[in-house]
Amino acid sequence: MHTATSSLPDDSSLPSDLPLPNEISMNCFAFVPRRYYPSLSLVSKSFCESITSPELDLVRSLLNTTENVLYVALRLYLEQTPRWYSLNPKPFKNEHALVPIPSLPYWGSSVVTFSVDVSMKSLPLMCSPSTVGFTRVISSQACVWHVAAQQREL
Amino acid sequence: MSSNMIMLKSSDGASFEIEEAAARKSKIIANMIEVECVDEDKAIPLQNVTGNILALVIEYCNKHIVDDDDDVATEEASEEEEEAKKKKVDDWEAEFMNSMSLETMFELLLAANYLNIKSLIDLVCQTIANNIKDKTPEEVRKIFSIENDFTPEEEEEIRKENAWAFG
Repeated sequence: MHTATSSLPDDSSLPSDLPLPNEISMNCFAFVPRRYYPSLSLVSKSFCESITSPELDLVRSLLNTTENVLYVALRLYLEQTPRWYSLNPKPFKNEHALVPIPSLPYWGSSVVTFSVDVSMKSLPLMCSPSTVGFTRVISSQACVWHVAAQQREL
Repeated sequence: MSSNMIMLKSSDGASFEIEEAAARKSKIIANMIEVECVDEDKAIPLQNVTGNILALVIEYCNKHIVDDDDDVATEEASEEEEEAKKKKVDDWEAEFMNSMSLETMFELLLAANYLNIKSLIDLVCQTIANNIKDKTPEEVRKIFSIENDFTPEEEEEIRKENAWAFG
């Protein structure tokens, strides 16, 4: 039952700006594609709180509305520690942006997934060869590392 | 499949007759039937659902009970038939939701939640999501009469955090 808290009093939830108990608002947000979250978080404080809440990830997972996200580790020089980025689609545009992730551990995370189509087609557009030492993507299902693009050293 | 009829009564006193199989789409009603709380001569009172909303819930349940029956009978159906059937249901659902105001949608969602009809909850949530997903913050505030309670500084802070999205 994905709205399991329906029997609880409303005051156990965060306030919602929609005329709905918070846990049902969460269900609505979970059906919105992630690319629109930055824009929706500007609507009001309660929207922002819901959109950025970890609970929303849980609801998306329960509702099977999770989306594939490409995570890549990039470095400028061989000696440099690679930095993790996620490839996020932009709201209102058919464009993507590489966004640094501060907290993902260096190697070995098992929480990320990728879509082959996105990784192979979009990546070269996003990174100029001179800035990419190597790129790897990880599949959560196989837990296997793939070398997605071995860029030339310039 | 049993074609027992049961009676439902809305908060404003309207009575509706519905096939038991359709009513069982609601887990709450299905539970009541399981524990034999349902007296054949008495209507089940649904205190949180008004008549006009209950009529929509019943329309949905009736439509989907037919589909569920079909599912059982069509194990050998070809993929094309399955797809055609799914499209038919999708089209019906789109039409069903399309005829509704946003206010009615919210009431229907609360009723579906109260009655615990998961597929209807998902359908309405998806429709509400479609209504807000590609709107600007100003448009969303207008649709739901929401006040912007951010200070300009707070708004700027969020824009900065998500600068990648707005560039």
